[in-house]
Amino acid sequence: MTDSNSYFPPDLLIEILLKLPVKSLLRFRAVSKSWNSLISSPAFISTHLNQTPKTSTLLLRRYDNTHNKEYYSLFQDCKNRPFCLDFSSQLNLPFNCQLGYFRIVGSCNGIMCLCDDFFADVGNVVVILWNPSIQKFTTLPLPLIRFKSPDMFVLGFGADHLSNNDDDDYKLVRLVYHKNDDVFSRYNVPPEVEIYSLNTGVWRRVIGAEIKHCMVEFMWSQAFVNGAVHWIAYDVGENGGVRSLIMFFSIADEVFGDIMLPDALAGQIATNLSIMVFEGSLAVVKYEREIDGGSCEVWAMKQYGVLESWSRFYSINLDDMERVVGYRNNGEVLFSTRSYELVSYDPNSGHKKDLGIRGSSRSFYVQNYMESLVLLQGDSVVSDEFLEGIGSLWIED
Amino acid sequence: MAEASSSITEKFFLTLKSSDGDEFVLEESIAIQSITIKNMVEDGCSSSVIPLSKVDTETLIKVIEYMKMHSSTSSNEEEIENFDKKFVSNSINTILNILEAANFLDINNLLELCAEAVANRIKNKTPEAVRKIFNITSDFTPEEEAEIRNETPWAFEGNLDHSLD
Repeated sequence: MTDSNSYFPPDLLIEILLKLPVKSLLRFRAVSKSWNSLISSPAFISTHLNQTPKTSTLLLRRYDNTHNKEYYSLFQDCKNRPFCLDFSSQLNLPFNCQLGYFRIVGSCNGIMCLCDDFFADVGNVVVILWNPSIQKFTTLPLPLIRFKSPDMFVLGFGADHLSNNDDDDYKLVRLVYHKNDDVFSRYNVPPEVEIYSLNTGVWRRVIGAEIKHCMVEFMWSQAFVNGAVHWIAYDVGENGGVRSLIMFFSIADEVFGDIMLPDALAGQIATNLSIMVFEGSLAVVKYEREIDGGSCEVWAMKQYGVLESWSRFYSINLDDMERVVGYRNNGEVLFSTRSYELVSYDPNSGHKKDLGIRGSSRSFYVQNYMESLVLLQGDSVVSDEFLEGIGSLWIED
Repeated sequence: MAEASSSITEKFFLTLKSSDGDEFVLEESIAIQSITIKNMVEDGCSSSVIPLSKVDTETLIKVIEYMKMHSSTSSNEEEIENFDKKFVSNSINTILNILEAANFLDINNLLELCAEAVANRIKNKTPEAVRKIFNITSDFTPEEEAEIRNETPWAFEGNLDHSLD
């Protein structure tokens, strides 16, 4: 400043810093102790997160099964610009999955929640929270609830954005369904429930959660919208009839609930349904598979919680396309194909183009990406259990 | 001027006085973009000169330029956009001074414009350059600073800007 004795007001400094990208903020921690503690404070991190403008950046994960390698890359998905793989934007994954690739439980506020459950039977459930934009991660301690095959478990991950705006938390909920001998319903309801909170760093069991529904084995996935994690669930009637619905877990108040599906979806078996977020709304894709492809329908609940607002957006012939991976900003739908490709499909014209990105069909994951400073506090943490349990998993320097 | 003769077309004027003692006469309708001045007008404290003890002449001239451009119904969006672009090409010290003035005068869009401009200007700078711009002396020991740098070394790599403007 012109006056060398002047002292720049801290609240104006915050206004400036809030407008900086993550990389600059990491660098400016070296300016002084007060800048460092300001930038690292939970209040700043939370406010910065909410001020970060929505970008057109997508994160794409794929597993290259010819080289047995898992890749995470960033893409600029601008309208009218080709969507192409830019190797410079490849993210450095600081750890490896034991076999194949991670299950992506979910992502929010720049944090990816990854799970390696291949060896879950023997108690090795590896869960990692990873922030690629600051290259930090933390591994979770082992869950409390014992799990033995053929039991099954489901995870949900989301942010608890507290109203005081000071101390966001990130939570993981784990539901363990124990197997039973009933002919129709194969799992005991309710499941056992435990919750992990990043702020406390521990799992805690929840007693008396009122969960009346079953969930899909292994192929479960989540949609985080409206502050809650949503999954496809189903009920088994006394005659063995099955009805599908959506079950949710509200991250802030830790309450479970359900959302009915329109008849066209509720009558489907749960494995034919997949939950997603489509244009900000809770969405379900219904697959009707046939040997030569079949078709899929994209449904969305335009107004959250309003059953009448469920409507069908597209009906798409699959041909060699296998699964809806995500949605682009130009309205096109990304599909994985049976020939290990990612294609961009225009639902209006029916035209599709191969994006030249290869990976195994189930491994493709696309989500809007944002940078954040979440997990900045402290070093990347690898829990003791994590190291003891998994000899084959390695951490890069 | 008599209250009774005032009509909607009549213009009221205010006199703003900078910390250097210079006085500027400005239409009230333009000046009240500043919430601080608007409150003074509403409280009836604006009949004489309004002293702005925290704003020097150079800065006040810039702020008035900005308010004139942003208030008049004659300037269109494109003009305003071009004006803002040119406005933020002032030296970083000038923008920081305007930012402080915008905060004191409570002109929110000017504050946003300047904060954004400073952020854009410093985002690729080195910590050393930022220290000089903000008159900060590092209170880290060399070890402490090295530790922070080592935590995210890639944030300190690349083509960084050493300039002070």
